[in-house]
Amino acid sequence: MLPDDFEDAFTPLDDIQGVSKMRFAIADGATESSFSKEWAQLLTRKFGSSGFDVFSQEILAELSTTWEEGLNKENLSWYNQEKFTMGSHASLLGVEIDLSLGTYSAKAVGDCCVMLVRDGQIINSFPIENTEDFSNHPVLIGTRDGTPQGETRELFGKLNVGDLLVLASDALAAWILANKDTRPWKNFLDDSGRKDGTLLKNFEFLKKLHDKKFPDHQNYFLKLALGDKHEQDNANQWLYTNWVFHNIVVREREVGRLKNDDSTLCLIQF
Amino acid sequence: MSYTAEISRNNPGCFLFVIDQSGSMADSLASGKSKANMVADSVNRILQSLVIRCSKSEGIRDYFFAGIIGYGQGGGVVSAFEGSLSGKELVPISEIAQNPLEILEKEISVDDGSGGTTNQRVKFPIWLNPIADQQTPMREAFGLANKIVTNWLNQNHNCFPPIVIHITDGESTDGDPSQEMKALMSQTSADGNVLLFNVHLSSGGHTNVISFPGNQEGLPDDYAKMLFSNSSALIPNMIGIAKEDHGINLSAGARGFVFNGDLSSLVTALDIGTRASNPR
Repeated sequence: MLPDDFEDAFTPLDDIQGVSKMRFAIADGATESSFSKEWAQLLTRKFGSSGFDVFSQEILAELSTTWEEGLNKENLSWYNQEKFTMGSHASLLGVEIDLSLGTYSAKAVGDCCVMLVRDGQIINSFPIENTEDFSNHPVLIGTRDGTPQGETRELFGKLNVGDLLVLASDALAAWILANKDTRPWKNFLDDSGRKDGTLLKNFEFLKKLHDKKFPDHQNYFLKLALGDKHEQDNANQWLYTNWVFHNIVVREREVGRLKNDDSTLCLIQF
Repeated sequence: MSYTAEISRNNPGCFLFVIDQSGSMADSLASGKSKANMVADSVNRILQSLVIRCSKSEGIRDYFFAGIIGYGQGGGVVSAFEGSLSGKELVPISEIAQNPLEILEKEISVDDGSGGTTNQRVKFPIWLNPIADQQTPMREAFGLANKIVTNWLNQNHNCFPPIVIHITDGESTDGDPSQEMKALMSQTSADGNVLLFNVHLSSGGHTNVISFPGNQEGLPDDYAKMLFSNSSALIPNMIGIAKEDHGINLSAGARGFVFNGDLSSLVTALDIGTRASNPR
């Protein structure tokens, strides 16, 4: 169970298997909005089933209707009724991997990032390249107004054996980019003392595709790690795939290098 | 660096409104509304806005505590909250959200997004009623403000510094409030000094509004200069909001001070004063 106030979202891992390409999305529901967790979850789930179509205004309009129907409007308090009229907002990053071609594509609105790590170096960070380019007011997808025109970013790239894709919500992405010289993702690959194995998957589907393209290489996986912002005494509710991630997040937040924000990390190793 | 503390449920922010409720607040401004009405409306809207900022699908997150000191009513200084909140000094925003005195509903005309207008029903919760009664014990009011802020800081030392917004239309009748105002501004959290805004409302004949001055030039009298001296310099976030959302270009050194203010300058000051500290 995720904490109630965790407003990042990701494509449910069970939804990833069985589709022709591997699709995974992360989203960050805006703190200022209400029901942004629900909106972020709808966006990431839809990306799992429909891919990049989720960025179209038509699909967003459908999702907005679903979002609205999911709220029990009659029973909302006066303040949630007011907040509801303002709509909800989230950033979204979707990544589609075609291992048969050895390629990946990404689309993003906002500041969730995907970084391609090759030979120990970040060779591409999308859609934001530098720590200083993160702001408190990213572009967001809204339930009322969809995606602001011209604000969807797109990326296409090739994958090699041994490449690592790092997907991270904004605070964590900014921290990784600021510390890229120390290769912080290496720590996250350490599985020792794993707290919760349910979020680590070696997908059969991924294996099938992988074996076809890279038959001699067996070290592939998808890992997911989550940490909600620490506001209340709910540390025990945090979900991490391992204590290494937990300890890094806690330490870096304490010294002020990592913003205290919901954090989602997904590592896809090829 | 000061004024950068993160506002969270573990480390909430604090707003204290100090409201003149003396007899002269019954006077009307150009709009025909009394000053007491105008202040009550504006403070109610600001509380509503704070509640909505903190409202999430699972409920209200207590990012802020707020209090209202009223002075003049019955000649004394009291918490201006009524009903369930009566007598309370600083109240978590969730408790404020759940205890308005009443919720008015009005139909207003809004932009329909295609060049026309459409009617929309909106809610106006009321916490503060307009009151205009007796004297202006401003010094005593700031004595209470100091006490409330001291208690708050004792328990919330790492907080974003409390923001105190004082709204008045006249001079103190219980002595010079300067020392109490200075004492208030000298109180600190680990993140900086308390920020004090003084919003002085016009008394009929005056029409020349002075907003956020950076020096005493052009201030008409000693009273205006006293309020200026006891108003905090705006922090960079506030100067940014003034520019981005209100189109006001302010230089560093501009103070949280309005003299001969009207409704518009009061609303602007309240907005700039309460939006610079953002919860994560």
